Amino acid sequence: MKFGHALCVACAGVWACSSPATESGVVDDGPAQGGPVAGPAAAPSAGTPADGRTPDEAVPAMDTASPTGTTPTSPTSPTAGVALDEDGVAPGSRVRRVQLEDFDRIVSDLLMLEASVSDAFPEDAPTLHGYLENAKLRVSDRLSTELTLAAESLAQAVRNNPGAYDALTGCFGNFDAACRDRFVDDFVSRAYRRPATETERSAYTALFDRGQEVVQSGDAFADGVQVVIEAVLQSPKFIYRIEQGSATPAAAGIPLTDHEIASRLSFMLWGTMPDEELRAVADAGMLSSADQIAEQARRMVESPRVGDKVLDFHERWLQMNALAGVSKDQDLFAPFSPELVDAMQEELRLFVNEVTLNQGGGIQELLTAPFGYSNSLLDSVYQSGGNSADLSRVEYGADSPRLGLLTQAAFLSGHSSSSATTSPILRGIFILDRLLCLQVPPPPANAAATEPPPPDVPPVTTRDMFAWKTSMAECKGCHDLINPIGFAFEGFDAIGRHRTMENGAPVDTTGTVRVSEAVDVADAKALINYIATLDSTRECYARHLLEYSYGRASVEVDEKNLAMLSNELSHGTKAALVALTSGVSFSHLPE
Amino acid sequence: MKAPIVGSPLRRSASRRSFLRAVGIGATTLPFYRLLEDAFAQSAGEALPLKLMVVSHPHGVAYEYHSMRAPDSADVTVEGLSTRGTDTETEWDVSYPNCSLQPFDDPATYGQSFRDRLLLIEGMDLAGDGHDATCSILTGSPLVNGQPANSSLDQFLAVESGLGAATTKSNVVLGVGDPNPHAGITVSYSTGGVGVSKIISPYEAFDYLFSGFAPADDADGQAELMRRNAVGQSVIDAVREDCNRLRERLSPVEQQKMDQHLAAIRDLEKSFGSVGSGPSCSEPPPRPAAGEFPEALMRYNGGEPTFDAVTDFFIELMAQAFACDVTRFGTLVMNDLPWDVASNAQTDSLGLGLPSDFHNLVAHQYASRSYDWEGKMSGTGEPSTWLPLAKYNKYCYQKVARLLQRLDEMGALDSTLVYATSELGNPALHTAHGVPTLLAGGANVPFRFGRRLRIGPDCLPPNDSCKPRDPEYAGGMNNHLLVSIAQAFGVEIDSFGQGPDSSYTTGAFPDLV
Repeated sequence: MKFGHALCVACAGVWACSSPATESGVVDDGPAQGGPVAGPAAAPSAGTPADGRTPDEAVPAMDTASPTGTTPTSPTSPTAGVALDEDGVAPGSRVRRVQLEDFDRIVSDLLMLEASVSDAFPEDAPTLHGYLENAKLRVSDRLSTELTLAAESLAQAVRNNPGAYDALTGCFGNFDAACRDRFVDDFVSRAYRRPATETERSAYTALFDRGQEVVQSGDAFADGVQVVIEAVLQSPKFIYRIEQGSATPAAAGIPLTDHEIASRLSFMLWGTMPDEELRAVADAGMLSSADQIAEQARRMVESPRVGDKVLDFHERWLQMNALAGVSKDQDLFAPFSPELVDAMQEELRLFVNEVTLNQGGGIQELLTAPFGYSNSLLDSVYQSGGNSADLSRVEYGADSPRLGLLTQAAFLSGHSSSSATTSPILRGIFILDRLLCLQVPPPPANAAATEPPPPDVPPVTTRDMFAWKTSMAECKGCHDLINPIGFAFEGFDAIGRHRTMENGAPVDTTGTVRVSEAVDVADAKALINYIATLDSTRECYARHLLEYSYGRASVEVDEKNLAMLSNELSHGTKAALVALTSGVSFSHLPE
Repeated sequence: MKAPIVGSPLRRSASRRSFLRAVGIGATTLPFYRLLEDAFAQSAGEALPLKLMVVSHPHGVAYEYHSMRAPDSADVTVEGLSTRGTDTETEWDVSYPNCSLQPFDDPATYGQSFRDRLLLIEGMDLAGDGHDATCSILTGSPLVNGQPANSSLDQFLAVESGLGAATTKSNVVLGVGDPNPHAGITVSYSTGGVGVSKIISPYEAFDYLFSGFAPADDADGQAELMRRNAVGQSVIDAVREDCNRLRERLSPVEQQKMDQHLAAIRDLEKSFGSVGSGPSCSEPPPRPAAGEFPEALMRYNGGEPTFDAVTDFFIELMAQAFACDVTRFGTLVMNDLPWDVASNAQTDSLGLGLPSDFHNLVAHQYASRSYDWEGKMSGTGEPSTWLPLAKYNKYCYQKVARLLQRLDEMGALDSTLVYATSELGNPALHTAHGVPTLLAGGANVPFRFGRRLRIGPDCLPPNDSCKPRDPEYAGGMNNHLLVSIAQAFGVEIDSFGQGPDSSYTTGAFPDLV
């Protein structure tokens, strides 16, 4: 369904943004975790949805008029959880290639050794608002080549690792036909994440027996193990997660098998194949009811193994991959280096881990948690007194200009644009787009070539420059919305250092933000405190989490659940993840 | 309204037409892997199949040292010479000081002049704009919601049309300094406009194209290779069996994924055969020695000092791959100048005398003559900003000239079409209008080379410039060139990419053949 609301309309060839602001409130620079001063936020009106649909995902006709506003409801208990209420089963791909960033985790679990073979794999394009889209993940020629090389090296690694070899084969000296059969059955079943069929057992047993003829190492059993591992790791049944459902349709749709549900849980929450417990409950047929699924989901979000996917989601949501491609003018930003970027990213990871996993927080806490992390490198940004190579937690006092992840160096450096100055425009657009799901159209094609008349007073600060540059009537429609948000962050330079002066002039961070109503903010901290209270912020985060977790665009049947999901976020990201496993779309295929 | 560019018939053999009709886009209802079998068989009799190499170089072009100096050109003086001259379509001068095209007429360095191999087109426009126009170069489509709407021409020809099926690798996608399939730095897109990740490591590129080859006089190597191939064939047989059984149970959309998987497997099988059927491929190029290239290859992460050497390596590798007929389709995205951030270098390490922060201090500063809001010419620009960008253009063209030289030395240039371009025209304006467009090739490419063409003004008078989607736009979209290239490869399409209406995307580029 929709992802964001296009605020802008094209009229006579000129883009203009309509502002939903109706009245003015005031937000001052309040305490770090104090309540906001703004009144209740109205969700922005729905506009023309962005069409991010994939051609090979059949999606029902979009209901552009469906309401997306939310009405605050009373929180539910995190322990009881909520069940998504869906009118039908969302369409989705039944053949999903595993995500390559999960590959090392998967083969490590499967082969019972520490594997790291995916570095050479081609990177998947994040075609879904920065996330991977199941329907578009394929095996290209190049990936096929890399998978072959990986399979060869992994099979060798098993042969060379007695612990893994014994654990996989379970022969312990008795390398006979019975052990061969047991190995083939168990290995294929684990790799395919459901019991091997008779045809598969037969085919792989034949391949096993052929192994000694082609490998010719002198160890017939190990040769068989090697070729079976190589083949299974390249099989589409391993590379793809294939869902066919059970034979008996239910009212809601075609129920997934217990093993298919186990895979959905495991790949979504842990980014790997099911563990022993999931396999056991699936084998026992105890993973079909909502309660059984929820019980496993709650177990899994409390495991440290959920950390990889939770961190990956937040890095993608915040577009932190952009940070790796950022350059800064070395004369102005001497501390900026690949090592400092690593430290920035590590701070973000530690912060997200602490807030969402250890403290059970969600989007509101991510935005307003009054602490960060620093070390001797980051001290050049934060002046926090850190002198160790290790990152340690730094509390923000009431007088600190910083609050939550938007005032951390990773965000401020990654969304600053130019190598020499900040970009209030990029910062503003990022917050509108990624935090509030409000879409701003691209500027006119010739915007860069167009300038307003020279100002009476030459611009001194970055804010002066952008205020002048965007002052033409045809720009103001959108930039009245974008600029005040970006200007609020002008208290931080292009690598996130706090500043009160720029080029000898005072930095002005004040402005009137018009997200749902006109609200005056004093600075970034006030802005953050304000947007942290908005229903649309939570709903937007829930929409991102849903799309990331499901690997597909949100569709109509998801819409009414976004309010419930965003409400569940008051119990934290982990509770929202559990809720995402509760709908009929999670446990059923469409008819 | 727009001046439509109409298609022109191409000279093609009847057998080639029938072959391509069999594997062409009209037959998509057949399982893809069967198409590949057909393509493989039917193309076996084709002599000297065409190859396509696309080079994308960043930062646009300094027009003043690149454009034709024709009698009707603007009269601007640079280095004491006027940009107005006597150039015609077939008689043109690149010998004036600092002309960025000089590498193509430099026999002392490149063994010969490539003037007669060139077809230069001015005034070409891309469908996209700004930072993301790289994605439009081969897709002919703008960026919408993070991706173009369709595949790129190289993937369309090599994979979807089956033209890459006969070689070990259907195509190869290379990049310098950044493998990310982000739209701003990626020219190759698979079905549905999904960005294709680039190989940036010389080792990985070599292994991708040339692993599975052992010299004929290396008995041990041959024996090891045969053993490995036997294992690989057994494994692949099992995988294909699995794939086929599964395929039967899937819906048509999901069968496409299996078909692609099967096609990839077929590629693998081809690598178990012999390499070296090309005209001048007596032995493969050597794999780069361990340590020859450092691990740090990424831009902004210490990779900049390797960019020049990596570019050279890829140029050589592609020439070898084409000569050996390992693949027939390649793309290469070049990168910025070597930039030693760690040393806080002020100038480039190539000795060009350019600022190390080329992006901000040259490309962003380039001030050509400019247009006002209404598209009228205004402002004469700043001549001191032209030469630095021209030097970088020349640097990029040196690489292209080297590619032409090596292809020719190995006997492959006659059957190769090289398309070199940039994502921008004027880089400071971030405009994808008037992007530099260079085609080069040999006798078997059905274009008339040795010429310079100019597309008329974007807008009808009284405006001097306007953008696509303006009603008065009359410029030349590169979609027409993409159509022409596809037709040159025998794929009979008459439109490519997405435009505001079909006139932007339909019809071959006039006057090429």
